[in-house]
Amino acid sequence: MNAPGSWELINSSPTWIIAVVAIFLIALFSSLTSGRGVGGPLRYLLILIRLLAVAAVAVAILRPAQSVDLTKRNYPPIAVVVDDSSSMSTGASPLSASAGRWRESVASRLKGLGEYYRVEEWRIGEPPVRVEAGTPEEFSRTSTPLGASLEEIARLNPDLAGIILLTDGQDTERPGEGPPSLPIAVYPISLEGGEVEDIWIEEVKTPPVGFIRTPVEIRVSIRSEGMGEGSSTLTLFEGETPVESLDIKTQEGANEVDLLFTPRRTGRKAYSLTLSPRAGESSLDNNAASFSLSVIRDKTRVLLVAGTPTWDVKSLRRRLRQDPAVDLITFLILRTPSDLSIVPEDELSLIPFPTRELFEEELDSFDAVIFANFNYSPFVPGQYLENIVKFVTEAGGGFAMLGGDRSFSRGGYEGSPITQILPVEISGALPGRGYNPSAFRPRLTEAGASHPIFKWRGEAVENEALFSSFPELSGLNWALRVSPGAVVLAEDPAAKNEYGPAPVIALGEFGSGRTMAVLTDSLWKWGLTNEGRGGDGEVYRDFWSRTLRWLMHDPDMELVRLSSPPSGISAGEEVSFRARVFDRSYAPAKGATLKGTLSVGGGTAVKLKWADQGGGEYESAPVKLPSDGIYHLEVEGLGEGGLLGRDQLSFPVGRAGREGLRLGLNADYLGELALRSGGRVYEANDETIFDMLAARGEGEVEVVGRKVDEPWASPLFLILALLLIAADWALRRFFE
Amino acid sequence: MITRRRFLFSMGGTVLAFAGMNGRPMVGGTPYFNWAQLKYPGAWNPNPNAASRLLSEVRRRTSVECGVRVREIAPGDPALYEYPFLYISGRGDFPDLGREAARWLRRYVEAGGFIFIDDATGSDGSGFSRGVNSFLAEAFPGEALAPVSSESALFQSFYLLKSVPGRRVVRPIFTGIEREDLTPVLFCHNDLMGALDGDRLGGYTHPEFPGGERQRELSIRMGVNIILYALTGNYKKDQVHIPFILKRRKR
Repeated sequence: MNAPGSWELINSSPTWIIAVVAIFLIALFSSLTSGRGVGGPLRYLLILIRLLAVAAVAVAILRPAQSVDLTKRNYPPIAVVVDDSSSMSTGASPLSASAGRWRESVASRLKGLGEYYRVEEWRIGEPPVRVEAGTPEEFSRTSTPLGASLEEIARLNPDLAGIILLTDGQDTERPGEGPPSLPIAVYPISLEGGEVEDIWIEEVKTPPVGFIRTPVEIRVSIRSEGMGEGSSTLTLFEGETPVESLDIKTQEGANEVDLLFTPRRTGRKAYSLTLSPRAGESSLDNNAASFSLSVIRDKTRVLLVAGTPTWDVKSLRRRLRQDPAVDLITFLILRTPSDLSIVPEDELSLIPFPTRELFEEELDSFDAVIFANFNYSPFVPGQYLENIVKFVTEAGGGFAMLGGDRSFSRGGYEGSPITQILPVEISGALPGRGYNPSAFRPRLTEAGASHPIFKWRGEAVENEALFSSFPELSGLNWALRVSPGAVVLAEDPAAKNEYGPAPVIALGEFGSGRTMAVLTDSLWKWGLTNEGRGGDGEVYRDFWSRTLRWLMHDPDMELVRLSSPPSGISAGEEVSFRARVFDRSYAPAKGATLKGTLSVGGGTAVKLKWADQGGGEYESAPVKLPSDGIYHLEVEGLGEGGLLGRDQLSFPVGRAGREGLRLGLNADYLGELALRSGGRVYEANDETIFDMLAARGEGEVEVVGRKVDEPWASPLFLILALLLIAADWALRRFFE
Repeated sequence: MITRRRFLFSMGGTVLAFAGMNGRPMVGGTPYFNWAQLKYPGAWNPNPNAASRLLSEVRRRTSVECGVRVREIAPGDPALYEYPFLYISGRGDFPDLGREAARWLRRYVEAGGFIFIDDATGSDGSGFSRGVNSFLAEAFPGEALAPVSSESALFQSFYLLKSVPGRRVVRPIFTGIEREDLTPVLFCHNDLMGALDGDRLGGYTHPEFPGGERQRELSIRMGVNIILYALTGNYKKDQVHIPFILKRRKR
């Protein structure tokens, strides 16, 4: 690079230089050898004129010129980043006020930086937003993606000379993480104020999933600042229903509380936690937190009680034990009080029947209870039947009664509490005549042919054909008729009364639970006899597998199924909901009518409009979620013939964000941020930051071009050269 | 209110109930256990009254209601699949029943049937035993009879027993074919049913044998256990029973 103002020859190639030198030598030689007749000063004048003429020619040929670099000074950018989240403006002496005072007091110094830098102003966000200098902040942002914002600003401006940061350092999007390591020096301003007196739920740690009827432990992090020791009540809600409450004592600083609760139903559940307010708290908004938890079943826990060992019970036990998803507890009555006992008890393997433990203490630990040909009265006090009714209607358990000569009316259940949950009415059988051991051939009803329990094949007619190929059954219990609201899946067309064919298999829903009545004890023939005769033995296994799933409200067996909305929805967002709808044959429903409502906090329900997307998929029109809270979505599907099914789900909105969760200045975060980036934290009243920046802010000089000046490239010089040559020629001719 | 129609329906059911018995004598409740026995060419029924005596004892001692008549099943008879329990016995040679019969028996076990084989010769290495072994080898290739552990639920399905009794204790163990932690094919070498066989007046076919009446009683108990095992499988191996049974066995 040439230095400014240096001289150079434009025609500096060797050819030109040799030519000029040659001319000069010829001119010099001719001057010395000619003009001998001229003496004295005149001779020297002639030589001088010739040399000047030659010099003029040389200048004209070589074109000496002076070149000058054209440069400019570059001012690097520097960013002033302001956190305008709402947490900045919380408390008695909010940090936002301190930020305002700082900007006011350093306004002239900030402007002065313009001599060294291009000062850019940014707001945090995803993405961060560049604003005009001096734009006032509203401090209303509902999240603080601090680390992400700084990273993005650094990525967009790799030439940044530094970042002046006004924030409380509460990164809501990377809780628990440290600040980013930026390649650009960050200079956080340690704002004044921000002291809070507050207690809040900082974090809720939950397991990835919960298991039904199994205690779930959640860990709640509670932070107390400026509140000292005190007592609070932590309450857990499922939807709007309180499910657990705990009185806790909190210390200043971090507190951790473990809370146990037991989910009772499967599905994606929305929970919320509230911490009772304490006097003098800066904010009550952060006294609540919400989370969702998928509740699944690890194993279906089944209690099977049989009045006597039978092939039906053996086949059922074999089937259930083969299923890895079933945890089976069996009690078989091997000896009745009337049986002969001729040996000491310790030579027998019999154990006492733990009725109290089963039907009082442990009943809720089961998902389903099956009474197989079990006459309860010699073994189970009648009041325990009430517990089974509650187990079904209130706890959502499943119950099935299987037939036999010790079951239904023959088992003494007529008039017992258990009739409240039986899908068939068993009154009216003559004493001792409630069971007919004869062979019979059942048939599927219309409901049975399309019900998922009997869905061995795709089409109802195929299921009916398969069912009719099964061997005859034997042994049918008396039922007067199906219970109100229950449905018969299989019936014996040969056994009729005034209410129609005798039910063989019936289903009912009572309260929140489901029940089944199998009015025969010979379903084992669908296995051994059917398979032995070349039939498909899988139908028996499949039947019980599907039955258990139905009893357990398996969502995959419902006709209307809502899809969970995405997690992390914030208030103000518009959301569409999706549902899958099947018709009664479990084919994707076409043209179904969906009626759905959405409510929050037990408030007014908003009706949703649904559109058929094809393939059984339905989508609601977008609906704006106006506020934070636990939202409850209910939908019912109607098809040909009426109601197809219902589904519901709950989900949390808002406060998924962590804004306002933690208040005050996070000095540790800011210090670490500055350290990692090579910057430094400056106190709000420390203006040396501007001196430091000014000292570093010389900028860079950039050569943007070059100016070349040829002082002899003018017509006058050309005329002068010609005059010299002409004078040289004329004078020599005159004097020689 | 009992209507005339309901009354007639109920009475019809009662009539059908007795008609549905197919002539089987029934004492007490509905039979939940029926005895089926393989009737093959040869000495297939060496202890003709033993089954009804055992079933009678089962009825007296347990909650299981048993039909007392034996259902005879010929090799290949599809009626076998109505009877989850099959008894095979013999005192002479056991004939080659053929490949079809072997497949028939195999399907029976795969579908959940139970086979109890009793060598009535009371001797080791009898022609019956050799013939049955050969038949089972064809029916269950690769699944040879193996000793059944005394820890099996067979020895605790009702009574707590330690060894296999019978008319003559040739082997104090059962052999069997195991599947899914069960022994659906069980072989007794001790003429177990011979200890129970007798006339209709209460006398025994074999009034005296080593071990005397105690051995006969133990044979009945083992017979009861076999039927209960066929009906309940590994029920007595369920966790809930284990502490009780261990405690009693230690006494």
